[in-house]
Amino acid sequence: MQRIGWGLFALIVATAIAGLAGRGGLFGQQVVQVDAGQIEAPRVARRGNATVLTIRFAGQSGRHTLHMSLPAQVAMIDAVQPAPATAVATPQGIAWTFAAQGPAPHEVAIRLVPQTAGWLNLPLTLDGVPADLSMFVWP
Amino acid sequence: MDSVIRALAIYAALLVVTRLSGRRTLAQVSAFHFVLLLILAETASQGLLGDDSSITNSILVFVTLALTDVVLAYLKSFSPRLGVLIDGTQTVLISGGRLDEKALSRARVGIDEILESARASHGLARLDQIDCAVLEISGGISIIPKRP
Repeated sequence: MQRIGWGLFALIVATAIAGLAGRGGLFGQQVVQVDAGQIEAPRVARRGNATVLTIRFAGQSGRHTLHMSLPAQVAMIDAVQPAPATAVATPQGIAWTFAAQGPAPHEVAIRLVPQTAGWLNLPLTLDGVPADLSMFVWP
Repeated sequence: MDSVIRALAIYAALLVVTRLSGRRTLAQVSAFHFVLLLILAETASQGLLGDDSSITNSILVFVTLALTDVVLAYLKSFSPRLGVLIDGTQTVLISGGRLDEKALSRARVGIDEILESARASHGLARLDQIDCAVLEISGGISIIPKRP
């Protein structure tokens, strides 16, 4: 019985090293690619702990838009870097615009704090192109 | 993975610090050592959990610590050298009724502490009643009285 417990301990630690328990790990990151750019985010997060979404806009435009449908009771946005040029609340969520200069990709980082455990679906729109991002949130 | 690395790092650091600070630090619970242990526990707890107060983090940290302990116990059973490295060895303080001053100094043990152990374990009052005194790995002092 004790040895089964030790095996279980080893399994839990291996799961964490693999990145399936959140906060880093070998396979902890996912990349969602769309025509307008890519989103890099963890596959797994932890409730109440900040997690960073990195969005890289592929377009050469000097202005990028990002739309995120995210109820506050599901996740809170802690910080957005760089500060958006505009932030607008819409019935579908938050719409940001970012000023950009120089050659693409233009990178935006969003610090997100999940407020509930379970599957977190984050529908995003990058320069008008929809992207589906989801992650599992541990309690 | 962050939690596993933190737990392993703190485990290793505490192992090294407690090993190097000597066995008496753990065994003597004077007021100062009690405060020292409290501070050590509080600091280690901050290092272990960081800013992550989730249940998942706590579970991962204590599972990693428990697993590390099991793995080290296994390794020690296969390699006595590793056991000596991690736990140290006993130190003979008095042998055949003779005090080993060097051993006392190295282990930072005073004669009064040997007498205290002798009184507590065998009701002995004087050093000449002790045949052998050994500082154990646990930090306690074992006393073997002289045969009458």
